[in-house]
Amino acid sequence: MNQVTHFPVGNGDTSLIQTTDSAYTTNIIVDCNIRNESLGSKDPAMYDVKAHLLRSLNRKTVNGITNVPYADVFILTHGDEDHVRGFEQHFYQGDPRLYSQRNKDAGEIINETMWFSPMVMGKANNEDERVFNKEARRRINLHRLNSPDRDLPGNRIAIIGYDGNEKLDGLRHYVPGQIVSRFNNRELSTFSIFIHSPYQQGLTEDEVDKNGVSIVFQARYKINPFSSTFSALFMFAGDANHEAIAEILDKTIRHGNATRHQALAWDVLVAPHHCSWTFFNFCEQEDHPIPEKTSIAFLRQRRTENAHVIASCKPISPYDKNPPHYAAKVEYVKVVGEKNFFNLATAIMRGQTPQPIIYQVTAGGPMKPKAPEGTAKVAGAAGLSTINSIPGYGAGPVQ
Amino acid sequence: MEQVLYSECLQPFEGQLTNPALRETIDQMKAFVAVPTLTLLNWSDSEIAVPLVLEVALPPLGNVDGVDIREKEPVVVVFSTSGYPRIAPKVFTDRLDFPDSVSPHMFLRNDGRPPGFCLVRGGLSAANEWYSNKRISDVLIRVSNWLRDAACGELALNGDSFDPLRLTSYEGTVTYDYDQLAKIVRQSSSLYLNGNFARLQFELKNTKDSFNRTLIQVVPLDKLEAEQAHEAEEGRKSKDDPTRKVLCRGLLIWSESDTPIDRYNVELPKDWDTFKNEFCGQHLIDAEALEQELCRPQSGFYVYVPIIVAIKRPKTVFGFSDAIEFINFELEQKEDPDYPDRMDPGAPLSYSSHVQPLTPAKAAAISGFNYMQEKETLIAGAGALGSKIALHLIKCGARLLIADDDWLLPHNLVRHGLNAAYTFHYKAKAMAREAIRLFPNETVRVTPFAAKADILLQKDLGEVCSRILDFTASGSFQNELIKADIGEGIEVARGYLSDTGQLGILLVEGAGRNPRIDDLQAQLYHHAIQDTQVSAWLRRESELNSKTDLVTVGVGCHSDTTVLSDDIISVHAGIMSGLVKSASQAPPSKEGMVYLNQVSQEPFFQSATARHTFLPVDVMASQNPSDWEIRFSSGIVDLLKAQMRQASPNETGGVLIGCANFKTKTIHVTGLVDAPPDSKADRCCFFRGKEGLAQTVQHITEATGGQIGYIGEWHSHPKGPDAMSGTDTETVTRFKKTYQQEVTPLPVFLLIVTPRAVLPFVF
Repeated sequence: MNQVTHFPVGNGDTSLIQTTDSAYTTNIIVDCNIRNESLGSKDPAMYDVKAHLLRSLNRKTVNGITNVPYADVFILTHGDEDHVRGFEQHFYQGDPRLYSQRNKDAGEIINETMWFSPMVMGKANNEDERVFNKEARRRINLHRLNSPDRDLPGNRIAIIGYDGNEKLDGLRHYVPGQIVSRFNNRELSTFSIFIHSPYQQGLTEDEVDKNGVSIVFQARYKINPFSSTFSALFMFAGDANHEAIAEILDKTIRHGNATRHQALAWDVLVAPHHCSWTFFNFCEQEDHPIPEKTSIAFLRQRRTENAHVIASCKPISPYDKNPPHYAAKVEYVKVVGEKNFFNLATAIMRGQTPQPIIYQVTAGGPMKPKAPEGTAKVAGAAGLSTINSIPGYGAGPVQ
Repeated sequence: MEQVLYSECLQPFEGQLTNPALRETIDQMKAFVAVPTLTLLNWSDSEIAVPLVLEVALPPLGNVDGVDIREKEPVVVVFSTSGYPRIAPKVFTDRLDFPDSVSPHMFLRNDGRPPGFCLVRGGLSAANEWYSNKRISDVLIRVSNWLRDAACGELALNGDSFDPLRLTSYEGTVTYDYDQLAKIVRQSSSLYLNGNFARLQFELKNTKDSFNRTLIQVVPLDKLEAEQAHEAEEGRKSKDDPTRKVLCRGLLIWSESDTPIDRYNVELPKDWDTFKNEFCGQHLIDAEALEQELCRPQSGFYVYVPIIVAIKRPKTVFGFSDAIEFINFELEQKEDPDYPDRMDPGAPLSYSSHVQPLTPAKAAAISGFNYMQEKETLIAGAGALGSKIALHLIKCGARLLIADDDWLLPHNLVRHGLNAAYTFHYKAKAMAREAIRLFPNETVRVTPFAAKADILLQKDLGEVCSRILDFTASGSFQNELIKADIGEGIEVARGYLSDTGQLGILLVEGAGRNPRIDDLQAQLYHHAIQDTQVSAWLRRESELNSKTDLVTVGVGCHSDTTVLSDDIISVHAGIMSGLVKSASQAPPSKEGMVYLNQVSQEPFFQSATARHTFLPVDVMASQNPSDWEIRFSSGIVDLLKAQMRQASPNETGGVLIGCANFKTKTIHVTGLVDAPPDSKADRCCFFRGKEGLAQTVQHITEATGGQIGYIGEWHSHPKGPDAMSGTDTETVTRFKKTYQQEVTPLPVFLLIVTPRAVLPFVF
């Protein structure tokens, strides 16, 4: 299975990257914004992301407990609440050898490897980020102390970006310009990630702007290991602002990675910061209404006229200002066209519930899944909307 | 204006649609493609065609290999007016320029029609079956997805395999082993030096239901004349002669070029000229020499000539072992004075479907289990149970040596694996013939031995056999098998029925024949003391056999007085076959296994299998001059030694439980009864008491249906000697005198345990 799923989580991000190599599917979760109201479809306007993840992830026996769900890699682009919400409740923290039946019953997913920026060593702004940072630091300590347990699934880490923090010296770092093809201790032949951000300069500024130092990366699929071209390129830009984007553009081109590695090209771009104006220029938009040329140049790196932009945010109305910002949508549409711009909150609906956008990787590029066939035999499932509504009947007058 | 759609040449359907399901389906199609009306056209006398346009999702980076699939694809949906929905709709492209040559999963063009989409693997009947659970919208979605896959280069769903042509409208079948012909093509083993064709000999195997040619051999040049004479000889035989074979000649042709052809030719030639100049040309095959061979005087071809064309493909053809696809033609030769030394260009061709002959490897693959082993498996007994298990194993590729000295009699047919054609044949020979019928192209799969299996139990059996499976239900053979010196490394199992056939028992010996089948039986019977189900079975057997003093456990069903249905035998045979197969793939087990498969009728027909595991036994020979061997269930010898140490310096002792077999001269010690409380002992004497002993032994005997009971005595000599004392000898003499008064006298078995040895004596 080679596909990428973008979940409708309101103003926030949750994506699942899946790639199959040698009959094993590697699952990479990018950020999480799992809201309580979405669990068990309590709020029909919210998609149950957690249930989808539990259906999709691999399972294995851990400490004698069978069918434990796990992700190979969890990438936290940055610690804002809309990217880490639900982490404490839905992902296991602590020594993986202590994972118990109670954790499984609570639906806790093990992240075998965590990718994060050096920001985890700093101060958290929300409870889930605090928990994430604590877990990251637990793992960092194991690696710093060279613990024999440091490479157990559930203790593995990779640090994205370098900030000179000596506490992280000697640990595995992936820095901008680097191509990673090893995920959760498995070398993959048809999938890789090009790291774009964060740069050291942004991480070491006196007042670090979290959005400015988001992890930005390009997920790259090939149809076979020997192919000279990519079959799909997905750009994950976190909450990167126009300044970060300008730096990415500049450095990637300057170092020859745009041509040598097609590092700026994309078929699907998740509009940074939930389709906010910050991607195009400073806010307020009224004060800076002209998009930066670098941002437009970044958009023009799309590989074909069929490239898609995904806005992971609430429904966009003409009166919306950051985020999402209607003006930002207008700028995206100017480049990719209306038919190639998708708001996750409205693009695919089943009843009141927005559905994820899924891209399957084909030799001809990323495509929406095939239309599913039905059958001639049918029975109503529990999710049937009429089951969840109260129909009115009665012995009233016949009309 | 140039025609672009095939449907433009079809006439409007002006009849009445009386099929309500079809009317409803057409309304559903309108809704699916969101059009207010659809045109109905005549496709044939019994079919209508509905042209429509499907939307296709195309890949964003462009169609793979530039294949010309479009966002809007016109198709024609064809319905049987009276057979719908029992007969599934067929869908054809409506484009005359559809890129069918690069698309696998398309049917061949017929009657000038456009090619159809192959939507379901397995042909038209599979499509009908598939459609029984689908709606028309599902069909249209599948076509749209087919087109999407074609655009993405993902239509070949078989990974790295090459999808072969989808052929329909066959006229007959031709049977040959793909690998045999592929090898000839790869080695370019032509009839003539530097040629590109081989000469084949087929046998016509027509039935009232089908028309088949089966490849007999690839004929080398030096056998050409002899085979022509053979064909003529067969032809002279009377049509009523059952040995008469209808033989004919055919040809296999290939390209001398190694360039693979990946294009699909969905329009096969219908005459010699198109075949030679277009079809062969497209596939880089030079048919000139083939034509000369066909027209050579005395070449001996008949009117109909099978011609198999090998097309070299870029990847291994799906379902086969090589990158060669065979297309099977049949040429109809006619003598035409206009073409005295060449083929008539208009000579018609039809084509046949390939049937792979069944081979053991194929059978094993289909069965999902490979029992193809270097050495044979000896099946002793090809009765109801043995024949069915043997057939199960043969169908997994096994090579068997089947021993049975019996004929197949009419009443055997009720429960036997063989059919009535083999009545009055030796069962062993009939099984061998059945194997030949299954695998006609194979060398011997079953070696028959129409005599008592006992004769085979020689030391050199290990050179040909790796496993002995005894289904004889014969106590005599079991005794022979127990004592036989069959050499190292042969695995032995015995399967038989008991409890009026409701219980199937499979004994699988441990590695090195320990525990042996008689050890397993003895220990199973002993197990009845604590297992109420096993006990109940043995008690029932005991009642059935109450006329004899020692019951026989197990039935044969060779008699027509045995009441037992075929389905029950099949259940047992299926279970035992599965267990034998599993055991064949496991490393030799230190433990022996006993499987009990119980069929019961109440509250409904069912079966359940239980497994009992037994460790190797301790084996000792009698100390005094006698042939007896004593086999102790695991742990008993250690227990005896422990009791001796515990009682030391005094002697101690007790009673041994088990059974004895005079034929095999074997005593099985399966348990102990401690010394009764009234026993007395000091440093040099042990007087075994009797308080409660009779009741204990009675309980054991009853619980085991008489199979297990008192078998001997033991006592210790904690300070030696390692021999019988004078008192011991007196006791033995007294016991011997008593036992000889019994109908079946027990051997007198005395066991002496000392710190240095365990010493059995049998008199």
